[in-house]
Amino acid sequence: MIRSLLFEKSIDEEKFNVKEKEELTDDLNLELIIKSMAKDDLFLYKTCKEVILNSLTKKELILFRQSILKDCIENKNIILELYSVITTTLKQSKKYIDYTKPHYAKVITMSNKVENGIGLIYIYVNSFEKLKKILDESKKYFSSKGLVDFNKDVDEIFTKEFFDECKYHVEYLSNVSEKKFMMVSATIGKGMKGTNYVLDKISESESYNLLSNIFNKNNKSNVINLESVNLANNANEIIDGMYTHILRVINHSAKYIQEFLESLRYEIGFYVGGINLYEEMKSKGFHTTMPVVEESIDVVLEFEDLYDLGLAIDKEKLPVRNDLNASKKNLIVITGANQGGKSTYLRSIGLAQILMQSGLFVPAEFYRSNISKRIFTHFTRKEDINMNSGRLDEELLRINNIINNMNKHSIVFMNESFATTTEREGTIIAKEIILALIEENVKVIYVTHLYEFAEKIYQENNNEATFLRAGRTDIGERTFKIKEDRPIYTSYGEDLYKKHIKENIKKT
Amino acid sequence: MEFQSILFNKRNQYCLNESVYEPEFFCDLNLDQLVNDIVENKEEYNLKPFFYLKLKNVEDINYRLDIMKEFDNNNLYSIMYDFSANMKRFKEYKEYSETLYFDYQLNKWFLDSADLYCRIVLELNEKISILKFDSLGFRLFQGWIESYINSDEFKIFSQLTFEMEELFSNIKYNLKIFKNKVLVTFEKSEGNYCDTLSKCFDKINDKKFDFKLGIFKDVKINPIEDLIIKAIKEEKTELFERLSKYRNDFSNFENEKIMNFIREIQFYISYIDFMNKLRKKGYVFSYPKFSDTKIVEFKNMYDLALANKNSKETIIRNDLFLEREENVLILSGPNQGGKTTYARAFGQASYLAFIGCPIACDESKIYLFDNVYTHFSNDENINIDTGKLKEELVRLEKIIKRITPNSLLILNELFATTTTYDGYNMGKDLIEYLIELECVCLYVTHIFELSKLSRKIVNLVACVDSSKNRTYKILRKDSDGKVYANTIAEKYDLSYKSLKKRLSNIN
Repeated sequence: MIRSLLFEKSIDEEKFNVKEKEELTDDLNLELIIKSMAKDDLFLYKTCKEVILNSLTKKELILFRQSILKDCIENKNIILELYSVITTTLKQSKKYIDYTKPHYAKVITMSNKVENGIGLIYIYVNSFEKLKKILDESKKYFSSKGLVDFNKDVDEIFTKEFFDECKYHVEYLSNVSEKKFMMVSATIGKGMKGTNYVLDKISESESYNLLSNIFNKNNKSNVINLESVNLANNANEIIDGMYTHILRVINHSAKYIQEFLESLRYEIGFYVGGINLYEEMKSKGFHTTMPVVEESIDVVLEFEDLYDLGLAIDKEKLPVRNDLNASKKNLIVITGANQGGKSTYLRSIGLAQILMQSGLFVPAEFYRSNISKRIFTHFTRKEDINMNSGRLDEELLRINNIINNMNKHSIVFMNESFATTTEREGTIIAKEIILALIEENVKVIYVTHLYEFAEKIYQENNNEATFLRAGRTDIGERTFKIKEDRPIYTSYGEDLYKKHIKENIKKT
Repeated sequence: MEFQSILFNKRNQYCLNESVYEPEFFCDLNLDQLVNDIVENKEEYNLKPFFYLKLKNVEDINYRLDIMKEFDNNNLYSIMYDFSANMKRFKEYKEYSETLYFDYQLNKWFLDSADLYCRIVLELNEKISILKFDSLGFRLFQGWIESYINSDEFKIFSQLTFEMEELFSNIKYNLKIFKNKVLVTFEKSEGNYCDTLSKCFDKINDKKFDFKLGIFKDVKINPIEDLIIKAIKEEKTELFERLSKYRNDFSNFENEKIMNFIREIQFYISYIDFMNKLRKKGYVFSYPKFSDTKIVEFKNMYDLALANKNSKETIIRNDLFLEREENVLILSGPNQGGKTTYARAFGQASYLAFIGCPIACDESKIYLFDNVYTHFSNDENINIDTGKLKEELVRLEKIIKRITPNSLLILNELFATTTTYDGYNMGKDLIEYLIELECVCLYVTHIFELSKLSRKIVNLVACVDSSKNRTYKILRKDSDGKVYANTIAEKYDLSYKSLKKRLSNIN
């Protein structure tokens, strides 16, 4: 068994069946990041998306991936070559697999199928030899535990003896259809029928046969002449049975090897995605850092020069960066001007958190955060899909789903939740829900217009929360910087009104 | 006391032959559907008669209930389940030994079936000998089977069988297959090529390769097999002759009690399977208790046939209590309010108790009535129709002639096809008679005035809530519904209080 590059056996990672993946992808604009990782490779796209959305919850495992990723970035050519060898092999093997199924096209004889099957094995063995060669030449560059162990396993399994043995069988079975006779042994089973049929050998030489004939010379009844079609068919059935057995063995192993190569492609694929993203960011001058991971029981969130990577990729330039130190606080309330960068800010944290928990680097100069057991987003939907329930109903239904899937030490990114009702009612609901969440050790980062809510929390629960506000300059222009500040009443809607309506009125 | 039967305490008290018919009330109570479902896939055992035969005394019922309890314990169930599966295979082998073509084939199947039989019986004894049984039935069986396997007859037979079987399985032969001939030889094998091939990849593949090659899977012998066997026979003539003799010597080796046992335990297995299927959906069963006096107590009973059809546990459960001195229950209420379901649940639970099965309720106590009689209107369409009335009355007449003070009677919407006035008068007369007779009767009717006939009558009502929705709850009359106010957040269980509770339970 070759150890995985994404997981470690000794670390028992919890696996969650995440139903909210699509929401998370949309809300955090993950699509753009995954596309940068995939570089038009559909397989990489699927792989990276899946790995990122299945967040890790164990610190050791995140560090395990971080160190592999560092090795990969530093030795990107080796990794890209491995990925390409595996991809090519899988392309070739796919063509062969159908031909080797025992029930595939009756017109192809079983012996031909065996020959095809061994051809498939040949492709695999060939590919293993290439992988082994690449790794032999490059293993000295790796320092991460993951890649070192991987190399060790490869060395242990893909030995010279293994390759020799494989080649022996490739030889033995490559032209079975031309061999002279087959020797089979069996025992008597139920109802006197033969059972435990075993293939002794498929042989070219008849010398053995001559020898045993001497012993049985006078025993005529021991020879069955295949003079009738029935008898000949029966005999063929035994031969085909033996070939079927060989094919099953080949297919069993081939299936496993295929799966192994597929999973290797998947695992290396994730790191190839990491390399791609890293290269793209580097070329555009976007800074990155390996995040500092803290255990989930510690409440930590601290960063410098964090930016929204999706926005950066989209606009091809570095957007506004923000700093924060909100450790020991389970609640962050973000209020302030419309269009002031609140959603972008929320997204930048969510994105960094999810990238960190997949083992990737994050778009910041510095990022330190605790692991969240589950990551949820609750963003107001532009429109309510289900017209049967009111919009508030729909919101609460989603919250309810989140809570059903929640674990302690989860994090919820909320964007304008409970804005679908009056401020009074929204405040009551928000307070009930959010207080219950943070008291039970769920981190909540909440962008809201509910001033009444923010003010109440500020007055009553100040110690448990950090309050941030989207700023503006003295002349009313938005800075898109989010700074620590108490909530204040005006939401600067008038600014927008001024810009879009009043100024237009003036012009006309 | 010697073991007789696993179903009947004293077997000879019951005449159990193929002429046991389905009781008349089966259809009304949907017991016919239920029993069909319970015995499904067990047709070969012909189990229905066991469900049609009401037991006569509490001792007999408890004999079964105690055995059922043992089965309800997983350990015994799985032993008996395996035993049944093995016996099925045995019967198959036995059939081959009587129906196939070549002599050597028939003889060998006979030996194989005997070998299987001996091993099954020994295994069964081994497995149950270490168990401690509470039921009389299994204690008796345990003792009996031990003495059976230790009998000289069984010992001699099984030893010889095992010996013969081994001699045959030790025969190894080789086939050398050329284009135009096959040589049958007896020599040492060179090894197993497929194993060698498989081992080559063991290092990278830790999944065990498990493939059973089947050549000539048909039970029949084909031409080449025939020639191969003849070649072997030539080599082992003596052994083949011994086999023929063996068959003649032991032609009737099966024990009758074992063969009856295998059929009779299917009654328990099928019922346990049925219960477990429903238990998975959240339904509860309980073991009935019996009373010497004419009382009925069912707590949270439900309609088993309905539960069986539902995909998950959504059924409304109801109580039914009848104390001493009470004998007639009158159930009224809105149409489609669960009245018929209630009546069926009552009838089913009672009858299943009488044949020694756990029933669909949380707790129960019941008197062993001498018989169950039901009268359900054939048609839910209620039209005035004199032809139908006559048909109803004819059916009712038969029942009235047969009931005794110890009978259980369920009458569902009698006289529904006549006018309310007539229905009231006929009902009144009948109810007065039943009160006097003192038999237990559940009388379901839409004519609620009937419930006011006598103070002896117990009144039941199918309830509606404040907004006139049916609740399917059946209660004694002095009941009322409740309305809860709820806010939108509470609707989703999202108030502070309930959230705290929900969140404190997560990991």
